[in-house]
Amino acid sequence: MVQQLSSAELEIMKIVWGNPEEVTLFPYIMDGLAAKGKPCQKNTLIVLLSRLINKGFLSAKKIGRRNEYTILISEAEYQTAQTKNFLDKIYEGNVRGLVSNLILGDLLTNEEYEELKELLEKGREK
Amino acid sequence: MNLVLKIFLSMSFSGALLILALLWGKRFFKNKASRQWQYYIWLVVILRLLLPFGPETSFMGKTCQAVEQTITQAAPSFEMQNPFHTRENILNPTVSLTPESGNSSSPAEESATAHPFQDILSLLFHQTWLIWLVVALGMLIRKITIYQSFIRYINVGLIPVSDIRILDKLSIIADQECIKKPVELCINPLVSSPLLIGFFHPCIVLPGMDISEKDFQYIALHELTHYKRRDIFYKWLVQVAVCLHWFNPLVHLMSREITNACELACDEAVLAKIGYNNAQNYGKTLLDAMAAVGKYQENPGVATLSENKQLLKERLDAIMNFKKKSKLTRLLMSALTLCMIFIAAFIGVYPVAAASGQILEDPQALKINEKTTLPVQEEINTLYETYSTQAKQFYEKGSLPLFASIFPKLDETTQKTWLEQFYVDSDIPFFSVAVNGLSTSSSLFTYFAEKAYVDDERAFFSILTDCMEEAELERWLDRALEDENWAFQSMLFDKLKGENEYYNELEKKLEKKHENAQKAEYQAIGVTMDGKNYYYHEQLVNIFLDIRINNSYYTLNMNPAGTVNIKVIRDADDKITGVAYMTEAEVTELLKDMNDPDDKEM
Repeated sequence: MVQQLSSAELEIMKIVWGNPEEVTLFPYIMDGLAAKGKPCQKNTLIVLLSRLINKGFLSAKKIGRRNEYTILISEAEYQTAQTKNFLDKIYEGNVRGLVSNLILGDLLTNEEYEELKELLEKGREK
Repeated sequence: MNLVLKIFLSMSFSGALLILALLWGKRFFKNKASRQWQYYIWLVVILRLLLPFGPETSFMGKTCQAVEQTITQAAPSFEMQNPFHTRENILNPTVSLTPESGNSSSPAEESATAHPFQDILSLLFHQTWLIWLVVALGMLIRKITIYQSFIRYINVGLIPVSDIRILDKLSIIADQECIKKPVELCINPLVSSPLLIGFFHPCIVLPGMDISEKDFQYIALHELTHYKRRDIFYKWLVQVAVCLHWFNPLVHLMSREITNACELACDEAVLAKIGYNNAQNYGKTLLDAMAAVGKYQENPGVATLSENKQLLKERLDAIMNFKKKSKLTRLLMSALTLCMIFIAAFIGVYPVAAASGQILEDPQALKINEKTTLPVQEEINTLYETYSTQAKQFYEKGSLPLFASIFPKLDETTQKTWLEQFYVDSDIPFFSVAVNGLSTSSSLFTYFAEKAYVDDERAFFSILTDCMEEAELERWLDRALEDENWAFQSMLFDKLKGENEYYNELEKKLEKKHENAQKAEYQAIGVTMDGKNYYYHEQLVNIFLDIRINNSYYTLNMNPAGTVNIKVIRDADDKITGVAYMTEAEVTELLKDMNDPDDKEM
């Protein structure tokens, strides 16, 4: 099961997910956090990264003094798991309730609505 | 007594002396010396308790020697007063040993087992080291499991702190403390006060996050200081010492002292960093942290912020009175440290290398060294003399167990003289006990076995075979087979049986052969055998008696249906010369013997 992430952990994961490279290095995350305006101490990041490793989101490979972090759970996987969790918790698994709430709550723009409709049609043809 | 146990007892004793010295000295340096020093000086004691090394001539070595000599000399008088008293068994290891269990057939064994109470006591005494070890291991395992269950208890409700701001604060403090390892920070509402867990991956556990920034700083600093100084390792080292010296109440007292000193020293280090003018704030943090203490009592091996209320008072007192120590005090303390180390080394342990202990254990082992060290030689001689006199006393009193304990300590010439005497006197119980006390490599075995074999002394030979190695037994069997000495053959077979199927078969074969030879012999003098029945001159025999020379063994056959009583006559060389009718008197004598209640086994 995909575990929950704290907000700080999610920030780090977003940076790692956003990295086009296969592996992510420590300074890259450090810089990413600073660019987001959320700089943190080196030790803090190490602690947070080790928590992510424990939760199974990342794996670390030590090469010399350098740590290489590899993604184990993709952003899509995490989103699916989180959505399912949300759906179960709020709508008791009722997708229609969620979608109708999205539409009725004016949370969808017209373009988004059309796009989604197309996606639905495609899925039905398959 | 076991040598390891002796060393340990001496270590415990010298450690106890050091503990007493420190506890006594504490009154003087409590407010003078730095808390740091008062904490780390215990390391000297711990090392004394755990390391079995010491200089060759040490106080402990001398004491042990003196004590043991007194014990050995006091032994006989003690024995006369109350031979089976418990106290004697404790005070007097050398005397209470019973002969090592030999074969159950030896007569000495019977007399030894006649006092089962003493036997059990001596066994207990012999195995004291085992009891000690089992308790020590048990305690250690218990402490470890308690620690593990505590950690599990902590881990269950552990919530990692995800506030980057707080984590950053901790990181900055850790950086200042030059701690390279990242330190985890978690919350567990179940813990009563902040604590540090983990040997290699430090984790500070707080009871909650609703504390002021200053409090957090002090707590973090306190716990990180514990981590930096490896206090957890120190604590476990103390626990190991406590487990091994569980019988020593002073060691338990020391463990408590160290726990207190640890916190005081940590407070001192923290105050040195935050400045002495912050002492009051720091004290307040401690008090706040104490508010909920006491939810989970036993928490060994973790570094907490505060452990108990009595200690808290002392800590608060100390916090308010901390001041930097003058140069002079520090110099004095260094001198005192050196002094302490020197004393610890000098008190020493039971000397293994100095060998004075082993003289009492096993004089023969030391004889190898006699050429190199003259004084030791002299010591051995006097010791041997003491032992000889003791042996004589014990023999005259007829005390088998005491004699058995002293006999292995005699030198070989004396042992031989004793054995000769028992052999000539036919004193089988003492002979057996003495043989059991010989060292396995002793040449006396072969000497007396040869003697007994030539003299056809089967009883003595049997005692000797009880202590022989299998190879030796086989050698004797070969010889008995060669000499066609049936009696010795059968005895040796009995000893070797059970160990080897081969001997069982060989014995059966030889038995058959022997039976046939016997049959032929009887045939020659006119006695015929038909199964169990003997016939003489065509008449069924009532009593058939064939006694070998020197009563070694005999054949007796009785058949109530028989009509004649006969006996085989043998000459001095055990050769059958003829057969004769038994007289009425002889028959009466024989039957009377058989009805004798003392000889039920016949």
